[in-house]
Amino acid sequence: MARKDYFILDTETHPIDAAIWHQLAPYEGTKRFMHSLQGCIRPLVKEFPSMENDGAGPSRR
Amino acid sequence: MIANMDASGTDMACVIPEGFFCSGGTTPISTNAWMLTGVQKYPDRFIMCPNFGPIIQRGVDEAIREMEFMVKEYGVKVFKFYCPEDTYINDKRLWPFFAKAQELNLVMQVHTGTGYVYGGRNKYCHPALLEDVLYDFYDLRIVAFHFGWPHHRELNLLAATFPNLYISVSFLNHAASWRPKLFQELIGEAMLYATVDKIVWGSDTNGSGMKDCVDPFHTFQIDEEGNRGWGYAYITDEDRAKIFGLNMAKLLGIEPKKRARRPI
Repeated sequence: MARKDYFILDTETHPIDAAIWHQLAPYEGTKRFMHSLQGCIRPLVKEFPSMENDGAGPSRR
Repeated sequence: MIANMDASGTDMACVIPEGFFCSGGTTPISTNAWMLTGVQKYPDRFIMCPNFGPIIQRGVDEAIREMEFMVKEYGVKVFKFYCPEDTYINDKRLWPFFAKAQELNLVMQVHTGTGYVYGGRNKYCHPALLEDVLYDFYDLRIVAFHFGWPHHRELNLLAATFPNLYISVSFLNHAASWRPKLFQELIGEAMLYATVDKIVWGSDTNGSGMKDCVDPFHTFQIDEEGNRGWGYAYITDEDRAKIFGLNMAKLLGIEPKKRARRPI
């Protein structure tokens, strides 16, 4: 079945120059919490890139 | 970001700076001004969603001043109140701030549920705290984030009562593929009480991973146990269209036309 081409408006995105998610890494409880809800831990991001590459830095380009 | 939006079929995105001053570790340098540089470059794809907090720490008057500036100079229609690092949602010191937001006909997005990040206070985020705000600012349109989980039932009942309270699936959307029974409860209860007309989409990603959030919701369905045992309605194409974008487009006065380019 063909996927419908819905209009999609994302109410929450964070193009961030020092990604917020990696701040969670030091805290074991938060790691478990993130994993329980999203099935993954967001990657550690250290660079300060531009909005064009999602704040994920040169390593993803 | 644009490439990831295209890959996921996401047409527009509210871009939000969050301070995370409270969490220790590193400090993002994202600011409202930095977000504006992206919004001005892609005005048809990004929606500026400033964060005026932490409101109490910076001063309510100063937060209001920036709110008025953003509306007047940049036509801002929506903003984020990030309470975990600020104060209780129903802190009466915020009343002038809420009054100004209502006067300017802004949509207020507010974090609800838990603090999520170490240092962010759970007690500031309980969705039941919204009740005082809803009574005193009845016309203020509020989008409560993250289903209010783990207090989603209280949030749903408030949304059933107050016509201007909406619910965002942001962040918890991933549960659709990871823990489908949990997601079924969240979306099923929200549709039952808040109604499908007041549920809005959100990824809570920084672009990467956006497709992994969007794809599962294209096909997610309530199972028979959810329908027959819990009274959750099956999700129709019309429901998906409303949740994915039509509801928020209506709130913001945006024409809901496709803008995402199909991936090659």
